[in-house]
Amino acid sequence: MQAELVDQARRGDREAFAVLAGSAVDRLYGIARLILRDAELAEDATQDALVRAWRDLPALRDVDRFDAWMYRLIVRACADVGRERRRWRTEITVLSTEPSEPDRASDLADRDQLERGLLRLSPAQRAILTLHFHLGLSPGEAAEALAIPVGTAKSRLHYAIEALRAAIEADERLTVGTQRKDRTA
Amino acid sequence: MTANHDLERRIADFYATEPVLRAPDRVLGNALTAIESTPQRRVLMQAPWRFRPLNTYAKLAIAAVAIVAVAFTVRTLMPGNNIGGPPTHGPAGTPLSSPTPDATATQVAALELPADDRPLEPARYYVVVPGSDVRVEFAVLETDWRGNGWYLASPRGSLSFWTVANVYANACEESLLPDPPVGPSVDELVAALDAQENTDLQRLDNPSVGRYPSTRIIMELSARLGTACLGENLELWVGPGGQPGRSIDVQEPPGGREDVMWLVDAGGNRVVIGGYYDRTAPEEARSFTDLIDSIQFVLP
Repeated sequence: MQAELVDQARRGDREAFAVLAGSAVDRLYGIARLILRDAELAEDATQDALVRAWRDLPALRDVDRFDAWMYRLIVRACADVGRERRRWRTEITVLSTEPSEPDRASDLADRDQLERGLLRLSPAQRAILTLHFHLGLSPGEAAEALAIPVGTAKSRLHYAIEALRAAIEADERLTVGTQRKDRTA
Repeated sequence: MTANHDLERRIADFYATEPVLRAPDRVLGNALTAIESTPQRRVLMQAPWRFRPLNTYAKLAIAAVAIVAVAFTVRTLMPGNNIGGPPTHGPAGTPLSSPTPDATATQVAALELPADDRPLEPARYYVVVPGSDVRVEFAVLETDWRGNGWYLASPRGSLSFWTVANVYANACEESLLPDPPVGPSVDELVAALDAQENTDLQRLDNPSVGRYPSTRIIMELSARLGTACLGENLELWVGPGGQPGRSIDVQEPPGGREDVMWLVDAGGNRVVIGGYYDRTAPEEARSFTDLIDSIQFVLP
């Protein structure tokens, strides 16, 4: 069914594309939010990715690779939006939900630490982490989505994890005083 | 390794508990409004990277403009006009031909290759090869390359820069790293890759790269893979400190792309340049050879 819609859309059928876009927009937006950590930038990136998808769809050779191709477009759109707007460095959007029970405070603290660490990474680094850990893509599948060799995808993932580790450690050094205050509050 | 596993588990848990988000209606609405006035890029379905056929006059006109534009860009960006300076000599080796410095030539400083996947403007860029102090400078002439730190990618494939510390004896067994590790020369690296189980090495030629000798090879899967090759990719080597190296996907690469590598002895510094492209596609091949031909090494 999707393959037929993709084939129709790449021949200029806007209604077919609208159906494809409608079924993909939430998934793409979720990916963009994870990469950019900013709701407004994620909206822009998702819109850009959908418009690029319409524009470049005739160049998609294999209709069965539409999903992987869309992942590539949303990652590229996030890179472009993140670079052009340069807002991710200054705006912090915490996406985790509020804890409802006191005994989840440590889980929230751990989550917040990861969140702060992720904010220190580049969109490209968050992209490979999102593809691998959120979408569950193997390095091979992520490589296909990003049109890079598998070894490059694995290296990129390795460096992204190491960068996150360094960011968390840096955050721990900077926020020790704040954490002590939180614990005693 | 435990620390690595713990962090990866934390990352996995983090992403697994991310709330499922719904895009605001305006996102889809705005996109669909935009495509009403957005034409699709029409291509030949049989050759999506080529343009629609042109008549003879149009082809000649475009070719003439392209030749003038490329000649101007190449003259500005390529070495040989002392733009970017002559290569530095390392203690162990010399370039294949002596440079002729021109003290009056204007030097164009190379830009650091961006690491955020941004589109690259035509210019000279440099990469410090990971795990070494060797700097590789090169010219980007086309507008669809994107920079990613130690590699650059385009619709035609990608090019990356490596330091090899050791070679897996068996590309399907990451636990089998020889001790002592592979020797430092290009010939020793070629021999180690040639002996590697579950991969085949094909020697192509010995072009000079940045005026230093190199051996160009292709690495591919063996025709018959061993039973240990159950994963999705084969690991060729590791970098310094155990950094992941180049691997080969067991799935058939798209569009006839191959893992083409230049193993360069740059004044005693071994640098591996990994290309991933279709050698049989003239436009793809030229894109990569142009880039390789523009390389200059700046040695520590």
